[in-house]
Amino acid sequence: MNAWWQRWVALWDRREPPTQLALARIGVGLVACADLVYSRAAGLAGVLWSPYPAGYATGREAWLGLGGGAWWTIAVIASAAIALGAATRVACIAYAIASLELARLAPASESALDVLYRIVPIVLALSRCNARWSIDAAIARALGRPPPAEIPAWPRYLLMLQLLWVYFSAGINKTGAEWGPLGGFTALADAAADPQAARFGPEWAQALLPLTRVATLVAIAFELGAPLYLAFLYYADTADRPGRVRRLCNRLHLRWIWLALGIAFELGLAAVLRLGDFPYGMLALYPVLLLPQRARVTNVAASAT
Amino acid sequence: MVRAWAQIRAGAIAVALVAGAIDGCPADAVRGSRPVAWIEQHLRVTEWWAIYQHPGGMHYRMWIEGDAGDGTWRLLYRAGDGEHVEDADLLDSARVWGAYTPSAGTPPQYNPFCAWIIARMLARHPELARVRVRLEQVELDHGEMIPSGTFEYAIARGRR
Repeated sequence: MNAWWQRWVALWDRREPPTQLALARIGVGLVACADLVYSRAAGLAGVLWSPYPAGYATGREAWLGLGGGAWWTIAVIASAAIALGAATRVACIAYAIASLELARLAPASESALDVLYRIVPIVLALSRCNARWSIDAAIARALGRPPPAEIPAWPRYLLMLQLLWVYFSAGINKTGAEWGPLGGFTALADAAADPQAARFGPEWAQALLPLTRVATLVAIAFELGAPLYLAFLYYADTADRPGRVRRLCNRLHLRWIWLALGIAFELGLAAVLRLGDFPYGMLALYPVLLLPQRARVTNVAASAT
Repeated sequence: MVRAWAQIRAGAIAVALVAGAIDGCPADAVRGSRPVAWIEQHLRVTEWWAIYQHPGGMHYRMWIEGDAGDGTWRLLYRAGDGEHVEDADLLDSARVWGAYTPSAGTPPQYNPFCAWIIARMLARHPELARVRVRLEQVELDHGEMIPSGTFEYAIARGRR
């Protein structure tokens, strides 16, 4: 038990270059900011977060007595600051609070990405994602206190687990027969025929039914296979160790195949369905799935001995 | 001191992961009694991700119609109908669907949404005496949308 615990502690004590977390921070900030700005430009912001007659927000009074417009402004500034890496920790917390208040005003306007993007900033706030490509890092350098070349890896691990869990959970909760052989793998064709969500008319969905059946099969396999990505990543990270399964996974590039499927899946959704910022928001987190430069990964405990 | 912090952090992460696993457990028995339900209630976050569970089968499409006072309803907007697109830029947005898409009954914001869109249509169309919103049952099957002609959740309002 003690040995297991020590391994667990050592796992969450690793350090690595900040590249992946910095990229995720920039991506998350950009997607969140772009979505909010688009909401205002499209005339949605005033409708979603204002009470009747300007909109249909709930009558609930938001925290601090601020209205939807004020929380929208806070969210825009905070998300831009996250992308720029300016006062990053404060910006992450401010964005999460603003998002929560907007959600209370307009609970029906929420997508899964909004929920995810209330979790992610909290993890980013606890990380050193501002150690690279950020205003914080530039200021620190100017003050003669350059940010560390290596930062704690655990926030990236948490975000990676979070992203993989979103896919896996979504996969196991897809209980409709149309996702499986009994329903003929017609789920994506049906989604593409939904008058509310589809970008195009249903004619093409019927014409391309065989292709959408394959796409449905691949999509559900991709989601249910998300936990395997951890094994693929582990095998890639320990490629110098023996083992037939490890060799096979590395030789077949299964890690890269899963990632490519994920990118294709999200871009496909964005092309076919009107899902707002969801696909882009998921892709913004993909950098956390990548291995850091291997030679530079260290462990505090190991380096201390 | 550093090692103690590492142990505390590892323990806190373990607790967070267990809480997330309970919250996201697909088994209703576990989720129903989850001790972390307050997190979703107060912070509006969850680890139970149900996305596109049933893209096929029975769904709804929204109709918005106006009546000039002669008892004839004229179509202003219908989801997925390229010829009736009034306010489609707003109504087709993924952020707006949630207000009018039933899932085990109408969403809590359905009535405020209808009140808002009806008032908006009446303001834009002085010739209309009444506007109504209703949801038509449609079947999505093998990439085909089959309208049923059956409507639910109709709300109509006139000028005050």
